[in-house]
Amino acid sequence: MSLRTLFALAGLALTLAIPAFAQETRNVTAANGTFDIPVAPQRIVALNDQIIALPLYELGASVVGSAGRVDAEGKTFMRGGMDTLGIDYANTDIQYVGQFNALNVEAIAALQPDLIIGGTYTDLAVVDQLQSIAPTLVIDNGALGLIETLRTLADVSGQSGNFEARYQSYQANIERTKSFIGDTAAISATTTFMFPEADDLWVYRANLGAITQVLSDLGFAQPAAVAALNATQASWSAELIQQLDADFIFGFYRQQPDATPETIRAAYEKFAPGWCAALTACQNGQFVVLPGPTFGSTMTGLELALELVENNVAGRPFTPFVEAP
Amino acid sequence: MSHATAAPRHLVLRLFDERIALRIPLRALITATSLTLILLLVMSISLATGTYGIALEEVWNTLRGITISSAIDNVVWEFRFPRTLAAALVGAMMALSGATLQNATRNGLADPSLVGISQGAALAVVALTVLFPASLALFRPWAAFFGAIAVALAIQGLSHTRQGGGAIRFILMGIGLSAFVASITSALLTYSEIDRAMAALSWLAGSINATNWNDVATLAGWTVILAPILLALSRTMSAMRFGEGTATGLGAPIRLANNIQLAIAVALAAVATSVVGPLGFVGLIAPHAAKRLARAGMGLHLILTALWGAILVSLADLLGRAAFAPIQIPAGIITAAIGVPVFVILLVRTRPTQTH
Repeated sequence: MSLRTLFALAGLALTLAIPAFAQETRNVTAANGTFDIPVAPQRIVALNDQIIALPLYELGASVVGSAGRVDAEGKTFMRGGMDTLGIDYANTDIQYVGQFNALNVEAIAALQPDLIIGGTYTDLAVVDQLQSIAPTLVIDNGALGLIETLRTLADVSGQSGNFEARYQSYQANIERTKSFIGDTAAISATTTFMFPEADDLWVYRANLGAITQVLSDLGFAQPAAVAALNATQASWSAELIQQLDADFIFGFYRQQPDATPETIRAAYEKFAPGWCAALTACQNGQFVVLPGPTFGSTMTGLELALELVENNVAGRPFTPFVEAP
Repeated sequence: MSHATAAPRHLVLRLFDERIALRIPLRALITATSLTLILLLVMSISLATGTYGIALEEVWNTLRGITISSAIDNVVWEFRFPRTLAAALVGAMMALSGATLQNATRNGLADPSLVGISQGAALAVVALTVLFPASLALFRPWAAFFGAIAVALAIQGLSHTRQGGGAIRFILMGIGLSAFVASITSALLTYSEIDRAMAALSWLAGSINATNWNDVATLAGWTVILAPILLALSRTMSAMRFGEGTATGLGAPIRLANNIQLAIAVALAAVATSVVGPLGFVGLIAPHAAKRLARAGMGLHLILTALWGAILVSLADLLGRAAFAPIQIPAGIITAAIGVPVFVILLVRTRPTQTH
């Protein structure tokens, strides 16, 4: 047998083996049932940009389509994409497949995905339709929490190794920050979210992406009123603003013209005039507005949130909150 | 069967030895034919339009049962075809519901979304999604249906007096109760977990994109049951156009006919809403558009109205997915965008006739 024949046979064997490998499947259980999915999916469509597409992309998964948003000029974008990972539809091969609540099923079909991933926010009727294109998993990120959501996304996309390595590094950094701060349980922090329109102030006990995960992992305390919340978040009355006082109060700006640090600070004042005077954290310069990725759902967001919290809490002196007698 | 032209503008049909005799305005007949052709054209364009690139010939071959690829089969048979049929059926049902409500209440501004039907369905679906998130999508149409029926019954019960149910009282009660129900829905959306609220919002936008063959069967089945009853009732409905006194004088069973009309209007809107979510203003626009195109007896008016509704929603769905592609706009937003200005125009126009 000549060398050329041997190469030809080897090439043929490889050609036959690749599809066999590509079609290898395994069972996974998601919030909507148990499905056969490819062991190493090659064409994933994400039905949410911020919660699914970005973490998948940063873990190295092959995302070919994602739901997104439409800005005021009618341009499509991935929320948090440029801020967090520097990606959008324009500079990646990811195709826009509609908004999370107005999905374009045909656009998804045209991408010929081998795995589709949505969440509990995805219309169940659409999920049923998408099952005829590819296995469609619903990941309940609210119930799983950020870390388990990321671990699940990594698992189903065949990127568990990447996730675990990065998570291990994150945990090491958490320990480092704790050692800088000392008794973290003695420090209290409130997580708030204000829209530029100033019509609502949301307060989060948990589940605001990376920031609440970091604060929880560090072991920070929360004001009694926040810790007592049954739900993970609540719309707060301006009259009860003093209940939010703590060593640190966090808010968020985004890299958008309508949600700059300045407009967000102005929105707090508009929502509750005299708000800063009512809160010692604000008076002491410990009301901190953080950038958008810190409330996102990525490993990058976790790492950034941890660095910024470390910088603000351990990297400078601060005035501890003393509850009024 | 024989037919003759009685007057230049009417066609008279005499069937079964004149046991059935119909005098059909030619203009209305031509309009109905034209609307049918327009509907077929819109449906054809809809079938041939989509993000998945399929040539017209391929669509035609697929519909004839020739498999070009399993992906194309899937897109045409599972996505486009049921969606196109559902849009037309939902439009016809909402339009018929509106026309019937307008006739029963003798108020040209009556519409399923103005008298609480859509709001009842919305509350039930939002409550199911937010409070019982683990429930199956299968239950959603049933929740919407019973929500709509419950609110409609409440409105009917509350607006009924010993002297009977006044039309204006029914409308006002509907508007009031709708606002109350809508406020509960808003509260549920505001204070629920964000992902639950988002799931509910996608249904509330009134979108046809997720319809399947089961939905088409549901819509078609109810249309086949309810529409003929309306047509059978059309003579009595015609008499009721002249007011209760005249209709009673003509021997029309007013109370029975009114109750049947309201029940059918509610059922039509409830079924349509349960499948695709609230589609505002179709029931308001279609009857008026039909009336303005051609004056006709009640039976033909209902047919014209159904055709208008079918065209309106089919067009809204087509525009919503093709006009700004790849951005998808739910049909409910498009029908509302058209409906609100029409509603305002109608209000302005009807104002002088209602002053006393």
